[in-house]
Amino acid sequence: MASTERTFIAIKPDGVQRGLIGPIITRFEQRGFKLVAIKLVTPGKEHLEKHYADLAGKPFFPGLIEYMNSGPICAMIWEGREVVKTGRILLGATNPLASAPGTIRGDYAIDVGRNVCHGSDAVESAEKEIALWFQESEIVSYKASQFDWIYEKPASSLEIHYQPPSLNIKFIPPICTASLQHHTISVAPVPSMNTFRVLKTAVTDVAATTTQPGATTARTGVLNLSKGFTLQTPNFLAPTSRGVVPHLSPDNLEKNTGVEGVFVALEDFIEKAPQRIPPLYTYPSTLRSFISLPPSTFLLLSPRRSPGITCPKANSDANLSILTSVGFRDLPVKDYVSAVIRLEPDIVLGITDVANTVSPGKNRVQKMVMRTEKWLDELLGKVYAGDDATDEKKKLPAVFAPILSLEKERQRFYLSHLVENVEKLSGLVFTATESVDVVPAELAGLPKLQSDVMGGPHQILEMVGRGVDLFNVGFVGTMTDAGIALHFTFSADDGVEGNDEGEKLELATDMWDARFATDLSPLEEGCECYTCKTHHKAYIRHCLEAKEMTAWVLLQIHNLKVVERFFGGVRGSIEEGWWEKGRRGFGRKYKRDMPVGTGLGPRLRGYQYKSVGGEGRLNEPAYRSLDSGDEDGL
Amino acid sequence: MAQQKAALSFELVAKCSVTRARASTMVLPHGPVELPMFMPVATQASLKGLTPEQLESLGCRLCLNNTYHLGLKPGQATLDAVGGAHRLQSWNHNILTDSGGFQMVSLLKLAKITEEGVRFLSPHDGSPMLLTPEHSMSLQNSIGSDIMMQLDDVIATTSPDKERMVEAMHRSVRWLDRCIEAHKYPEKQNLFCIIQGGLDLDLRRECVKEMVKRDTPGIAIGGLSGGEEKAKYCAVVRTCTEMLPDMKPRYVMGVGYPEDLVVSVALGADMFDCVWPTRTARFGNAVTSRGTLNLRHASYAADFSPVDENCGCPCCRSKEDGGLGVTKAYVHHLTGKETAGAHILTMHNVYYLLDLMRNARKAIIAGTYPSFVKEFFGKIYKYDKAEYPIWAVDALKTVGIDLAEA
Repeated sequence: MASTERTFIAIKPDGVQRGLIGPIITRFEQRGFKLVAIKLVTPGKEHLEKHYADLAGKPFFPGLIEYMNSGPICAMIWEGREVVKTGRILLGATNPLASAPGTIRGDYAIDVGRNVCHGSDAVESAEKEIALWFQESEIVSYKASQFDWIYEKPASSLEIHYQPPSLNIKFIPPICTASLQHHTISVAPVPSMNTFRVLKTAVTDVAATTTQPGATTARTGVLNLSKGFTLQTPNFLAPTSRGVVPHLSPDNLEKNTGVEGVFVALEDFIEKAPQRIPPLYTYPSTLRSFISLPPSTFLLLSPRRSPGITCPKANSDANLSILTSVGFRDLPVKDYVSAVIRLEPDIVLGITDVANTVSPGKNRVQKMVMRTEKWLDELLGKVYAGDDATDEKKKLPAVFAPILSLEKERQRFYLSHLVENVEKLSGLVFTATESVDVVPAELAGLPKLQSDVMGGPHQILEMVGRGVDLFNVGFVGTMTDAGIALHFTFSADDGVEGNDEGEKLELATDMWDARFATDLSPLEEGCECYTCKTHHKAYIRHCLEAKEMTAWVLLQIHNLKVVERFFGGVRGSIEEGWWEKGRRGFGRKYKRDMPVGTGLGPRLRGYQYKSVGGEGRLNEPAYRSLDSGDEDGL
Repeated sequence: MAQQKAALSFELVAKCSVTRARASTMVLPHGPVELPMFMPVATQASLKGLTPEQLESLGCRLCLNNTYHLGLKPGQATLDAVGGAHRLQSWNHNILTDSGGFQMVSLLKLAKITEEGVRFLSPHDGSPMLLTPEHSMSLQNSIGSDIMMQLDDVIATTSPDKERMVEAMHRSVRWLDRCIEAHKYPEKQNLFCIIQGGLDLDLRRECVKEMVKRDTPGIAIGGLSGGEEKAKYCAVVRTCTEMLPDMKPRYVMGVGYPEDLVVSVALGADMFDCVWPTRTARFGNAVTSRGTLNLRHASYAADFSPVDENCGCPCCRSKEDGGLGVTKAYVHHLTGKETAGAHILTMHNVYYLLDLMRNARKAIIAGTYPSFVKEFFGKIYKYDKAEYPIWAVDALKTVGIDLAEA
């Protein structure tokens, strides 16, 4: 967000010849940007080839070089807040025909090969281009007299772009509850366009009048995200691994599931940092683009997968310990915060400082509370930094603040801090089920996300009943990996009272079972998913048996559909007033526990699962030697 | 010899005026297919994580299943109960099955071939089993494939045992007769013969004569791509196509490298199959118009360009163009860690080979196949003629294409 960001702008030979230097400069000047270098040059082919090195090999490359070499070029450096991005907007689309009127190309050009001007496409490339076209001595440093009339406040020292991790760890004074320091960065609270509205609160049997309405009862709501997504709640997010919903290529996710949002962890994208900059940090576009997320699916970014695997090394004030595919690493908090801005998620989770121990001591608890608060402030500071009266504010990610897995009293100050900052928060996130009860009444209007559900539908219903709106449904992937097909429905069916556990319906079925070998019925009668409409149990069982990946693809598609339908039923019940009946009926109808998988699988223990040591193999070896003399081996 | 029933019609659409390349259309029980074509291998009735819907969207209308594998899992009883492989995998297009003999020999060290059939130990319980031509036909009838292959006596082309080679060739002919005899549904399943004879061209010629006499609906050239020299491979294909009737499809078994396909088409072959494009995808290798790229290599970690800039597959096409806009870096990120990474690259590789043959067909019809071949090699080797493989240059010379020419 620095007002000292620089970009390289060039008026190409056609622009110079057509007398457009003046008009183009005017537009940058009038916008408020500062000209810090300018010259007229004909740098020659070799220089131009260097400039366009990333396009070498393109069929239009020779023509481009020839055109650029056909006359003098007006090279400039412009400075100002977000000048790289804004400069590109002023220039218009590369193809002038696609440029909006009002942009330079939209007003002055027609053909892509005569598009008048050039502008750097990213901060990194701007730096490269400036170094290529200008000597340091040619760049002038001065304070424009209009500076204070253009920028509302001095440039923030926070950089939006990735900086190599700094060794300068700030000393944080020991906390004492009496004089709790807040680390709020003072920016005027600007409400983002992420909004949540409670639509209807369930009618409950139990009088819940003593508490805030909407806080501890099931409710429906609508979450509007600034980037155009609308989500009806209660609803679910699909967990991802390395950016994919396991087993589903993005086309399958889009075409064959109704997943509306995904839970993505930054730790999945960090490999060898800090020795090397994670490739994602240099990716010129958004995370959604990198993982080819369908345009209709929103993206939630979290620092860690959920549930996070306990790291042997504790967090520090500046770093979060994470598990990557190459082992445990540090994720500097400021890298996460920078990444949040760059990667443009739709929802972003604050970082929770989780203690390694089951019952952390008093000091550790204080640290947890303090760090979580400080880290949240860093995130909020960055998200709301540089916010001015432009359209940009509409695109701010929705920040969900963590609720710690601690009793209310132990995180009292943190909670009151959240209340003070409620306008900047778009939601709350927690892991432990009890945490939902510590939410202060002032925050009850925020959507609540349970970031991990390992149980199943009964646990979800319990939490819906306690006012939780969003769920990251980790158990679905576990079932899919185990070769288990879900089949439960949330309906107005009241069930039979006093049903023994043994008489109840199964929530799911293990598809490895040999009894499905010739069963031509779908996984679930009447299911509308691709798997059930196209395939039968016999095929899925065959693919499992043959360890063909298609088995897990088809199961994942179906299982996600079951969950989608389940949440649809839950919302309907609240809207139509049969929530309590449905919930009771579900409990009477279905067994409490999921069946235990009996088969093998591709992901029974990937790197994303923690090994506690001394465990046997979960999968049989795929191949055995024919020559081993093992009679049974063949 | 009696005229064989055929469950296909074959129409020759165009012939290249320079090479022996042909463009044709073959109508099979599950719809028409356009030749030349590459057939991806869905070994166990599943194309490595792709749904039939995805495979169809790539333009595939004929894929392979392996008789040996389906015979083991799900087994013949299940296949009969389910009603064949089309129903098993919900694939409404064509299926080709091999005879099962190749896997016996290549996967099972203890296989022994007698006049009766292939003897081997069951991978289930180690009990001795026998695969006869009759059993292979019965299995393929249960599978219900649109094209079935005869059981042949496969031995490595590189085998030095001339006598064994002669025996294998003659035995393959005798087994074809037994297969024809045992085939229950010639009106709805096409049985193709397989020409054997190792690398001995005279033996191959003799085999072609015998096989052609049996008048099967299509003809395969087998026993190749077993590690023989490429020049010898080309000589065998050329020798066989020279003698084969124009009006039957010609299938060269087990071939899947793009260069082999392009040269073999020039030599007059129409159909190819190979597990390589799908297998190599799972190892993170992308088959592209500029050669095969190992995307696991660290240099692709931050390479944000598409897997193949010229590719029209759903993965490579940009988001603006309705594709997924997958980058090399993303494939690198997923390979070996997430199955979806394999799915993405499998889609790309299969599409690449299907499209390569579609474009070859277009070029043959347009009368521009020689320049298509030149451009194809030029792109892979960046027009550095010194890099062109000698076997390809030599083989193409025999059919009138001089790659050395501008």
